[in-house]
Amino acid sequence: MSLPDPRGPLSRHLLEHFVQSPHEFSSPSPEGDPLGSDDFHLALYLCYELHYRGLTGVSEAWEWNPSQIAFRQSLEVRFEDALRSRIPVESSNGDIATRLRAVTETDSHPSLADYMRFKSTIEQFKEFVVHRSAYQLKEADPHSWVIPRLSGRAKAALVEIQADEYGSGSAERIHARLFANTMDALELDSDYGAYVDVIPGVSLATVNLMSMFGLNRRLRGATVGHLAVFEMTSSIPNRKYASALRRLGANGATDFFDEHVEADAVHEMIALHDMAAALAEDEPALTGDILFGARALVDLDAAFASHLMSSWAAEQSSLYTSDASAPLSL
Amino acid sequence: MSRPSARFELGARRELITVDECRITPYRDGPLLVRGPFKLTDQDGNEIDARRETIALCRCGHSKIRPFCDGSHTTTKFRAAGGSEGRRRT
Ligand code: FES
Ligand SMILES: [Fe+2]
Ligand SMILES: [Fe+2]
Repeated sequence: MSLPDPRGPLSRHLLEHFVQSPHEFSSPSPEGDPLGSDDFHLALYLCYELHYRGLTGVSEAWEWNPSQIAFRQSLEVRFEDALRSRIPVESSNGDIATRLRAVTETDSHPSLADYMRFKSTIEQFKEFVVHRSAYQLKEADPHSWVIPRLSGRAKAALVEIQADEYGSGSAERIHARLFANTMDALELDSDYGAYVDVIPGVSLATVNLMSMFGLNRRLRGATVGHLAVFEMTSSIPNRKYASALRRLGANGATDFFDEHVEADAVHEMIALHDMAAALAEDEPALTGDILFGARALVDLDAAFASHLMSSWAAEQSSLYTSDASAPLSL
Repeated sequence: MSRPSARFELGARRELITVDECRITPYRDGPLLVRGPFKLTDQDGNEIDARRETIALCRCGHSKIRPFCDGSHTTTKFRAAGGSEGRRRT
């Protein structure tokens, strides 16, 4: 991924160091809203990217550089604290499947999928795809970090889901590839990280959440809860996104969404019953974190959806620009 | 370490045979999942492309992509046990 422009003190600080060979540096204390700041979440996204596909012109040795890790942790602490202070601690009663289902029902934000289905313009749909590219071009990867941290039933179930996400042995069916095809069909740039410069913090936060959960073993319960709710709330919105594309005449771009209607109806059952419920039974101490991961996803997705809807209601682009007077066009 | 006994080998083989079987599971409030070797056909015997190794067959009746499940069971609040229910033997 090529390097984006800095957006504030944190990302500027990081980028200045990253272009040099790995060395020790001291970190500024993190500022900005840890749930949505553009600067904060770009900096954290860049730290995580060292663990995925890497950054162009940045030494790979930065990945485990102690100063980089310390900086990343200072951001993670603030991010996690902010999430935990918003999310009520769950008492551990009732069966986990019912409680996870209840989490998805607390999701009260105005439905982005319904707006897309009936009202969005093609430009708005393309913006939506650009936001989602921060995750979908590495779809499933953040949850795969948890595989060696699970055992038994939950592990087998997670791998059953991931195998399907990764195309069950055929590279052209990898879900990230299907998403790239959608981008191509919409005449967007499907290169990994091509749009990082225009993706706001509120969108990057939804991806950083999964990376933070996945890369910290102690948060393995949260990864499982996140994946469960992700799969449980996918089929129906994806049907609406596919129908939006048909309404807009972009029939060649629907495959990714159509595939997810069917695939995630399967994944939902495996994720909820075979993975999350099995993990809660095998490791009851993780129950609280399974629910935390689930609620954190619903929370950040709601913020993402309301950002898009309010930008469009004000007839503005929902993408990030450092210069508010220069409207963006894709 | 001693060599595995013949019985152990038989047991291991039996396990492999189990994996080769088709398994159909009703999931609570949701579809039937089908795993293992199976062939899905229409009533005239023409194959329906399953497209994945594990499939979900709608049992709430509300899917728009039947026989596959499309998640509509959530919207319609479909309720069913994750197993056998209401069955009587005479
Ligand atoms: S069982 Fe899922 S849509 Fe019918
Ligand atoms: Fe997927
Ligand atoms: Fe999925």
